Amino acid sequence: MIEIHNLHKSFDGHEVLKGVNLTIPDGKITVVIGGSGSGKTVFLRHLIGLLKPDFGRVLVDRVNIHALPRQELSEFRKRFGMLFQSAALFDSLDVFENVAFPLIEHRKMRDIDSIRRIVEEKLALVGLSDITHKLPSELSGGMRKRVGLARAIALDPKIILYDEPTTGLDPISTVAIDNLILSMQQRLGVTSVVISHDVDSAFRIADQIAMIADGRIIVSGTPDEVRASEIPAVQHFLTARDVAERGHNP
Amino acid sequence: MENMLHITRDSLETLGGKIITSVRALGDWVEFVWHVICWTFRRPYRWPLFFDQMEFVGVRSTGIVALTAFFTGAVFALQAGKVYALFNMETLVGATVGLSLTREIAPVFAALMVTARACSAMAAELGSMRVTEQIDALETMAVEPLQYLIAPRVFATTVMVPLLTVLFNFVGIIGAYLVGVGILAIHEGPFMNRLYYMVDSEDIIAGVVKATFFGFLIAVISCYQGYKTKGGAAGVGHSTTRAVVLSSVTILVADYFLTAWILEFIIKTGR
Repeated sequence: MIEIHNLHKSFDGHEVLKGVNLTIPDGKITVVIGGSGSGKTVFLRHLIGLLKPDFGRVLVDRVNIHALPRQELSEFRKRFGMLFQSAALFDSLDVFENVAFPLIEHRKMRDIDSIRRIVEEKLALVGLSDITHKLPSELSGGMRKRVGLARAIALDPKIILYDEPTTGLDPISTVAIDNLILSMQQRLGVTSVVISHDVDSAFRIADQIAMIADGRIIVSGTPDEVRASEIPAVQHFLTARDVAERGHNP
Repeated sequence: MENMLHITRDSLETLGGKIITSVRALGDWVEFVWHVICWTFRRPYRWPLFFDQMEFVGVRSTGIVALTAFFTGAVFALQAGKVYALFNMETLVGATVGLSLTREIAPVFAALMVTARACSAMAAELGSMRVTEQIDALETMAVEPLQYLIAPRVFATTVMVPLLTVLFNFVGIIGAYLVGVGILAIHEGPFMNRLYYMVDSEDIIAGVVKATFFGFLIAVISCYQGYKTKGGAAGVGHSTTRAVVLSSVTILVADYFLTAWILEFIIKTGR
C-alpha cells in the first residue's frame, strides 16, 4: 500500500503541491487525473523518490521512502517499475539491450540465452516481437511506450507507475496501451498508479480515481463515485471534453 | 531622496539575490563533486564503462592533441629562433621550448583540446539524457546515475589528460626539433644538449600534476553542467556552452594557482 500524507512541494517559490493526501491500495489500478500544470507528474515523481517533498511523507509498505539514505532508496526502487511519458529508452542501446539492462544490472545475469528468453517473454507480454535489434529512434511512439513498459516489468516489480501513458498516441494505440495496463494488473497482480488527463482512458481502466487540482486531491473514489461527484471543478473537468467536442461538431 | 533610497534598496536586493544564488550553486557543485568521488569508489566497479570513456576521452583525442602539439612546438621554435638569433643564442631554442611545453603549454593545451573535443560532448550527451528523462529512468531502475554515468567520465578524464600531456610534450619537442634543426639550421648537438640540461624530470612531473588537476576539473564541470540541464534542446545548448566556457576559464585560472604551488613545493630551484 502507498500512503501519501500532506505532501507539499514548491519550485522557485511557486507551490505546486499544497497538501496531497491519498491512499493507493495494493493490486489495484489508481488513476490520478487533472489538467495540465495541476501537479500530477510532480506527485508521481514523489512516489518513487525522484523528487523530495518540502513537507509531508510517502509511505510505501509503511516505509518512508524520503527518509531512506540514497543507497537504500536505490535498493528500494527495485520494487518499482516506471513508464515515462517519453518512454525514456536509452537511445544508444537497441530494444534488446534496453529491456535487458535491469536484468544485467540487478540479477547479474551473464548467460545471454537466459537474458534473451526473459527479454522475449517481456516483449511478448506487451505484444511485441522481432524488434529486438531496432534502435528506439526506429520505433513509433506507441511501440516505444510498449518497450518502455517491457523494461519497466523486467524485474517483476510490485508497483508500476505510468506517467501519461497515452499522451500523444492515436485512439487505437491509446486503447491498446489501456488494455496493456489492465492486462499487467490482471496477469501480474501489480499495483498500478497512472497519471493521465485522458478522462475516457481513466474511466476505462481505473479501480480508483483521484483528481488533483490546484495542488490538492479534490476527489477520490471508485469511477462511479467520482462521476457522481458534485464538486464543480470535477464536473467541469469531466464534461469539458464533451463540451469541446460539441463545439467542434455542432 | 525617497526615490534614491528605493533604487539603492532594489540594487542591494538584486546584489544579495545574486550572491545567494551563486553561493547556493557553489554548494550544489561541491556536493555533486563529493558524491561523484564517493560513488567512484563504491561497488560495483564499472570497469567496462571506465575503459569506454578512457578510449573516448584519451585514445580518440590523440590525433588532435598530436597535431596541436606538433605545430605549437614548431611555431614556438620558429619565434624563439628568430629572437635568439639577434643574440647568437639559437642553441637555447630546444631548452626554451622544452621548458615551456613541459611546465605550461602541454598541460594547458591538452586540457583545452580535451575540453573542446570530449567535455563538450559529455555535457551535450548528459544534457540530452536529462531532458529525455533517461537519467530519471536510470534512477527508477535502481542504478545510481552518478556512478553509472558521471564517475567513469571523471575518472577517465583525470587519467587521460596527463597521458595526453606527455604525448603533447613528446610531439611538441619533435616539432621544435624539426623547425630548429631542419629549418633554422641550429646544430643538433647544442640544441639537444641544452634541452637535456635544462629540462628536468621535475618539470615533466609538474606538468603532469597540473594536467591531472585540469582533467578532474574539466570533467566535473562539464558533467555537472550536463547533469543539471533544464529545458529542452535550448537547455542542452546552454549547458554545452557553459561547460566549454567554464572549463576553459577554469583551466587558465587554476593554472596560475597550481603554478604558484608547484614553484613553491615541486620545482624549488625556481628556474
